[in-house]
Amino acid sequence: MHWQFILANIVVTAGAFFLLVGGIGLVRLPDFYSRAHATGKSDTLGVILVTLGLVIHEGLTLNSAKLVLIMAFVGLTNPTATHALTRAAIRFGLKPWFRKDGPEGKEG
Amino acid sequence: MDKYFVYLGVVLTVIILIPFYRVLRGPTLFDRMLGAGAIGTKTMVLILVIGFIFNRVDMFVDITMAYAILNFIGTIAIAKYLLTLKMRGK
Amino acid sequence: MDNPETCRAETGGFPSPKARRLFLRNNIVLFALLFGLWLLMSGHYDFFHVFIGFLCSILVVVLNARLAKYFFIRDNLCDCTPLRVGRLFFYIPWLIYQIGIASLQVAGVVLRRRMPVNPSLVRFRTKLPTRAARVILANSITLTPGTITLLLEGDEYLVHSLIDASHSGIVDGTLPGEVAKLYHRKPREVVFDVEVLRKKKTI
Repeated sequence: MHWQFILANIVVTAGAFFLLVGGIGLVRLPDFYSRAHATGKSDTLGVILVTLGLVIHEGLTLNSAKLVLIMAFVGLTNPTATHALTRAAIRFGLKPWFRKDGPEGKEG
Repeated sequence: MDKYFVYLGVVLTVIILIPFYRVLRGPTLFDRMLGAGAIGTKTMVLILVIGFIFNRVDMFVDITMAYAILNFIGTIAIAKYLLTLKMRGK
Repeated sequence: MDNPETCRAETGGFPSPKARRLFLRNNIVLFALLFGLWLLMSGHYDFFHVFIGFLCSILVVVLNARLAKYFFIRDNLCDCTPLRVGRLFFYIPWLIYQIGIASLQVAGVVLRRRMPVNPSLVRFRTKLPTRAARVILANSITLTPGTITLLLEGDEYLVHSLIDASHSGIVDGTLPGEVAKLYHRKPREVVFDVEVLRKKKTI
């Protein structure tokens, strides 16, 4: 296999891993605001990495220019959408979850 | 080479199933919306990968673009709607 | 220049001739961006398609012009500090690096068996030159390690941080400092009135 495809595969796999982490975080974290962390960061990086891998696989064409455009678009809009939702939530009166005093000392 | 993208598509489909738990069980409305947004983001990637499987990247890239815009605008619209709900005192 | 009313009448509603020139320049840049986007997205470069794209870009700019003029005059956009475009080439790779760290951190937290999350809220005020700078800072906070912006009102931010260590980048002012460097070469202190909240009734 060509080195270009191997590099593309590695980057795409890393992106898929971050998408997986975003999904798991969405299920496991304790409250809405913590879950927003999972979608706001891991998903953004996952999409950016997968798209980057596909750009490497595609080479220099018009399609890869469009892929770069998608990358920039997702990088701009995903945090904005997360922020819009969290803002609505905090205006709505949804209280964030805090750790009780007990385990806090253990974690430092 | 194409085999890799087929496997990746299968893995992505499984990944998309994970946030469904949050959409179905989410204690609040916002959790469900967050899950729906996450599904939209991951679906976008899946559409791109499908384009690479079928060797029709030129077409599927445009579809992905439209999907990304729709996902963003949908989330923003629902967030705005929830804000107006609060302002009416409901 | 002495009488703002006569000045406005001469320059077609703008406070000064300089503002009018700037507004025209903005519209030309907008047209160039739209036309470039059309060329990128269409992929057909015969006369018909390019001409249609040209017409559509002109139409969008003309339809947008009145609304843009209203906001331009209301927000006094000709007096605000311009963005240093060259600095973006440093800022964006730095931000991508930070996003990488952030995602690894979230991954480390999520995949551990007993998740060491300790959420807290941080409230602080900033001194940034324009509204766009505040939006850039808010989006950057969401993308960088362990923090998301919950509220942005005026220049007051409310930030949710996932782990204890994660809001240090905001408290010591690195991230807002980088954003301020997009506008000034040597920015002054931008962050103040930092308070960390960890109780339910404080918000």
